[in-house]
Amino acid sequence: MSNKLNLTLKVWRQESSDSHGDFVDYSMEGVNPHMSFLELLDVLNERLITEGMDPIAFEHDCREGICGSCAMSINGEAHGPVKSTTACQLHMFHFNDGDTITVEPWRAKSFPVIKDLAVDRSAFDRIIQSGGYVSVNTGSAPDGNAIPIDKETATMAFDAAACIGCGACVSSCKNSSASLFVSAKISQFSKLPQGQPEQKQRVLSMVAQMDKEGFGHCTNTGACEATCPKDISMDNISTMNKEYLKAILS
Amino acid sequence: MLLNQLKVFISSTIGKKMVVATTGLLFCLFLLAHLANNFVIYTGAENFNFLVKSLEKIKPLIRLAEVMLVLILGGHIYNSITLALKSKKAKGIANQSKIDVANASLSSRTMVFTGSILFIFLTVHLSTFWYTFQTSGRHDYYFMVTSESFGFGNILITSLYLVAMIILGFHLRHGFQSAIKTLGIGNTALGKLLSLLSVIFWLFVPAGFFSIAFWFGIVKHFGLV
Repeated sequence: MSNKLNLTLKVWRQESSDSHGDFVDYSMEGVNPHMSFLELLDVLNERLITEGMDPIAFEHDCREGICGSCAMSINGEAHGPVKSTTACQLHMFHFNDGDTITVEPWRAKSFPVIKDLAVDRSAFDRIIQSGGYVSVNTGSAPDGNAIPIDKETATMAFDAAACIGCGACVSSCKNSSASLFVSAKISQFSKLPQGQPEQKQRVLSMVAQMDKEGFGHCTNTGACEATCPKDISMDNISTMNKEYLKAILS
Repeated sequence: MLLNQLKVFISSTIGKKMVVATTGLLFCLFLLAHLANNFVIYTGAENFNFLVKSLEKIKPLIRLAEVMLVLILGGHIYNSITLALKSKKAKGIANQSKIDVANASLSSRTMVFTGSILFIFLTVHLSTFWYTFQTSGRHDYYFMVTSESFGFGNILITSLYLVAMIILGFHLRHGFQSAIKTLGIGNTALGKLLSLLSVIFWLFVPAGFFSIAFWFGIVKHFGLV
């Protein structure tokens, strides 16, 4: 466990959204296996700065696996090889001494590269802004038990709400579909009474915005669900489609 | 108002996908009826020709069904291609290292490819069994099936049919259960029942068509029994 690792990192370097990117190799010696993947990049960046070189740009915030900021494909898999884990919670002991690790940004036209591994995910923000909220006046905090919701429904809504909007689903999808993200954001409200008053407009607006942003369609291949760090279920996509059809017909 | 809503629906990715799903499922029902008719062939020439004559009597209905099938298939193909082109555009640069396909079956990733092969098959199928049947004036279908010029007497045609039916099974392996999910009933009792029944469509129906081509084009043709 405590054996230090010698690794080769192949990192995607790209100056800006309209410049040409390519992989650059960095050899890393004596890597502490207890580091997280982002700490590995921190160590590499410190070295690059000391050497007077441009550090690798990547997004990060909480480093606790709940903010959705870190976004990178590690060896071709969103957030790396460990299931239900964000890149910041991925520890180096999952890799072997001598490994070559490829790191690249999310791949989708709607997520243009800002620099290196950092991509512009504001398309997600615009989808949320189009209707992913509850704006009805809810007054002051009511008694917790005033609105009875069965446990199963509450759990489904909570599971959908666990989506951190990192964009792994889009990057993993061969169609760059945002269906898993959008459906989670729709389901979390559609399953609860508080979401009902604005349900129709929410679904119509969010789906329209999703299409406008240029994301592809869902072909139910399941790559999104397999790579989602928060285990968001594809059942949400069924819920979104059903709600969309209902909204169109009503 | 409703017309506007329908316009929004049909131009959205979800709407288009639902058209692909519905038309696909409707076509599956047609395949079931088609196969049920085909199976009569195993009971001999007399019975099969009687069936053909019976169908002749309801020609207007058959014509109507044909028009509907063209519309169904047209909707299926047009929307599939539109969506596939959009998703190709949405990807831009693909993953440069190993692409993660965990959970995504081969059949789910090759729908456009298998669909295209099936379209080629359909063209050949219609130009022989349908077109020639309409124009030959000879409504002896049993003869047509075994004929050397366009039936299973021709090994090339037999081979195409055998391969196409395997591909049809492959296409429906993903297509049928995907359509159920797309229509938003994947997690209902009905959806779960339909998912269980999907084996009829992706395995038994293509296997049924396959068996006819195999029996007449290989076993009978080469005198194996």
